[in-house]
Amino acid sequence: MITTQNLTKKYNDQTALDQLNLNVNKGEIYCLLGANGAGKTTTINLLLGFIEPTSGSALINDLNVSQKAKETKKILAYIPENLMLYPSLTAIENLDYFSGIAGKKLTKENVISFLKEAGLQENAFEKRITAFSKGMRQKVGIAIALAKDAKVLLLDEPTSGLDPKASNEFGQLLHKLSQKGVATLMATHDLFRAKEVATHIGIMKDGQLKEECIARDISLRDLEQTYLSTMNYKEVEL
Amino acid sequence: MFSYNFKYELKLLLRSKWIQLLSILLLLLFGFSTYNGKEKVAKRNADVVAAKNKVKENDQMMLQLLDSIEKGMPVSASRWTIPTSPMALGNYHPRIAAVASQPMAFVATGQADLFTHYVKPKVTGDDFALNFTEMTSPVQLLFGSFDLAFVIVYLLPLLIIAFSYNVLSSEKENGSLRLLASQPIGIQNWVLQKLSLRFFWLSALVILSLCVTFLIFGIDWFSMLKSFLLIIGLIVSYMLFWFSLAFLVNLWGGSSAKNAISLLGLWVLFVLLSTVYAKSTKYYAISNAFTHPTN
Amino acid sequence: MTRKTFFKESKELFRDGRVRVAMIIVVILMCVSVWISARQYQNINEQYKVANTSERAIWDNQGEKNPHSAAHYGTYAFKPKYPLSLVDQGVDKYAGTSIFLEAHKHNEAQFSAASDQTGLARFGDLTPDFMLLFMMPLLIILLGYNSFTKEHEMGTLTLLKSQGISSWKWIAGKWAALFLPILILTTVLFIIAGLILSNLRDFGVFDWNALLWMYLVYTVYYIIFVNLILFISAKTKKSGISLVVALSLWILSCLAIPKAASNIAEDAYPYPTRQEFAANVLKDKKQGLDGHNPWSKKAQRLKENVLAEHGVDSVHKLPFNFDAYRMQKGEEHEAEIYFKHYNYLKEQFVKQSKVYKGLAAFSPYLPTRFMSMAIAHTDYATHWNFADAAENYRIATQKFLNKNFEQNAAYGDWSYRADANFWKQLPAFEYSPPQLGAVLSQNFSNLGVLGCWLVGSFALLLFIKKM
Repeated sequence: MITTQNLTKKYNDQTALDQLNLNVNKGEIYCLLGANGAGKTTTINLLLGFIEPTSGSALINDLNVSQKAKETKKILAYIPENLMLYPSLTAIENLDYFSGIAGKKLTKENVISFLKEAGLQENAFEKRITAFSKGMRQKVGIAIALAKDAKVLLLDEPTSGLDPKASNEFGQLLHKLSQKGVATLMATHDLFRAKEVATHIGIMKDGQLKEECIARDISLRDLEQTYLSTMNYKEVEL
Repeated sequence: MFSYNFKYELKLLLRSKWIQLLSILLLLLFGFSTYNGKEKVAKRNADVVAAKNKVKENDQMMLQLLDSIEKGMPVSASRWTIPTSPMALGNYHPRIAAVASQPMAFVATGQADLFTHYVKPKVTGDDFALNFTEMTSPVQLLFGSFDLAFVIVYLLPLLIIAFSYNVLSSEKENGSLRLLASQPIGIQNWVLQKLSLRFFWLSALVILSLCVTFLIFGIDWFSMLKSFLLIIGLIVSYMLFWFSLAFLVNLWGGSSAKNAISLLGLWVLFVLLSTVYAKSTKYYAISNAFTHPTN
Repeated sequence: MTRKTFFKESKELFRDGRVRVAMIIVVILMCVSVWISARQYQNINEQYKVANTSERAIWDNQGEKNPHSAAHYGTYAFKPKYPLSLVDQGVDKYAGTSIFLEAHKHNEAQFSAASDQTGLARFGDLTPDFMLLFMMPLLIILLGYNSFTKEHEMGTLTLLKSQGISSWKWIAGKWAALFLPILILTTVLFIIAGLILSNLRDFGVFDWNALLWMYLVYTVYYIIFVNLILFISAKTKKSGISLVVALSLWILSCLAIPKAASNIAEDAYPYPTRQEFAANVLKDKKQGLDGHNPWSKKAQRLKENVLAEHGVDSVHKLPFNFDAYRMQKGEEHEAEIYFKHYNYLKEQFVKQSKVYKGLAAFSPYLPTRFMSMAIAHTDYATHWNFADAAENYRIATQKFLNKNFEQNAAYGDWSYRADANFWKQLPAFEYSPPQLGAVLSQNFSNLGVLGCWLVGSFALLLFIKKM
């Protein structure tokens, strides 16, 4: 569903992404780990079509993102690191608007059911976004993804700034979506949550994918060790 | 996308109090400027009426004088002013030639404060082709008048700029652009729709405010429908020009601050410095079109 | 700490692309405006010189003529232009440039530049005063509107507070960084203007003192704006709002209030129309100054008095031409009538000025504009001054002519002609505007209002302190 083929992005003489090859199939949740500047956000931006690759290609559902921008956007949903909606509109209105301009006409019942599915508490439906916490806004973002019936989900640091309960709820939602067959690519620093939800994990450094593993085959502690050694970091014995 | 944009743009404008603010501002500005314009026109007309009345009074006295002369009574007037001579009549009892104010004259002062509106041509002397300025304080001419034309030509673009400079940049700075951009829409098209809607609403507000203002000041625009529609047409096309500029600047993709400054620079260029290039600009045409007969 | 803030702010401004662009544009526009203005100034001065000499030549070469004919033939007084009008053109465009001096009539200055131009001229010219009065405050807004709001928005404010800063020094640093580029631009402009003016030969007397005072007035104007903009920036939370408020202030002060003021002043204290004025003068001429004492009666009494004084019973026996003598007295009588009516106009203008001064409490532009015009001798008061001087010259001229007639012609001899060389004896019209000291003391109230604005705007800064 999500495929990159030798995807490369260079800015003048700086290489942000170097020959990235990864694949996420239906129902898989792929967590991309790496330091800031490792290329995680660049990868997502390329998959969204926000930037053009220097070479190689990004494919969503076998459609080339550069060539078929609108079609790919129809089937993917994106939740940025800091999801901001329209503060003076309510949750229902935000969902209605974003779905509507994407071409999906929803009735009020539909909207409410999607918000419920996303786990937003009912008393927040008619409240304006200005009062929402980050977790609540995330849920509206998920609702938008649900309403879009997206096949692909791209997430950028979704759990940063969430408290453990919200983070857990988010993980549950991701799991639910993957069971529906959604392919998810998630860029994150959150090793714990990655281990909890991911099916596959990749570690990036300096624009290259250094390590890949299957989540259930590795313990959290080992994951951390692998991560740190990829970064050439030796833990200091305290 | 358009129906959703239409519905939600209106909601956003109402909730952010833009529509309310603009309405009040427009009413105040239009009201004050129309009042000024009307006062000026009323004064001009009153002057002409007073002058004409004076002529009537003088005529009465002249008739009495003629009557006395016919009856052979001695009179104290100088020999060369006695109205039995047509030349004397032409020189000492001139008529009034006045320029009538057009119904829409209150809209723009134009050159009307510079020139006189009535003269008393005599048979000899006083070549009015040379000089027909009115007696006014030059300070008043220097500052100009707070008339409707000023509001429309100078202030309305500023309102438009404030209303449209950050349509795209605020999304970016707010953070909601990321979500928008991941939808299957063309962002340029989205900006165009939003700006068009704002243009639509502002035009509606402007027209409404004008009608209300005219109503309050007892200006019967219905009877001068053609002029009124012409003015509305001019105003709307002028607004379209400024919205188009705002659209281009938005597409340029700068930050809100940069956009604001670019648009302001364009305003200074087009409105304040419009005489630097001596071509006849649209804005001059607007101002003069309202009041061409009073030049 | 002030210095550190000053350098940091200046660096930020310098590195900001839009600021660089804006400053370059302002500099270019200023150069263009000074160049245009200098050319125009030279042009008009040449015209003035030519007009003066040719008109005097016409007067001198009238040949043999009856003095009273010459009095009706008349001559012109031309309004000179002064060096500082290069910086501030004031009302010159709207005030007449020449006064026709003839017998029995006190004329107004005619042929203002504006009356010869189209409506386009009313929109505004690229002149130094336009740049100084409108563009510089706009530049201040551009440079300073986000001075405090950016600290809020970048989040650096909390960091600064936790470093333990002294508010005063911090504000002073920002103030200096905002004011310095403005000060430099203004100083350079005035120095250039001064150099150009002192190098123009024999066109008016150039006074560096006056230039200095003008420079001070504008500097105060900019300080006021700097204070106001910083205050607005400190009190609002978002840059966008700060910009809008600052711009509204600019529009209000520089465009809206002056225009509204001119409307209000005109409404409250209108001038009579030209025709009305002429009709009033005519009425007084017929019926006498006080309405009961027409000239015909006065002339009668004058005759009786003069005859009694010289102990004769007929005007033929007087040692001078009585017609000329009576004409002169008549001239003086008419001059009084005109004086009364023109004085009414002056009074109306004084009342209108009071309206402007009242509204100056809401706009620092008004007192600055008036002060600048006064110092440049391009204000309305100077125009009145010139008109009065021309009138005095006219009266003196009539006396000169009538005296000649009085002493050299027998009574009833209207065929008397003065010698062709007689006209050259009339002294030329000389006019010099009030000195700087007089101008300053006349405009004391404007200076006062400006001072209040200065103090008041600094007081506002005190309110920023509590953050």
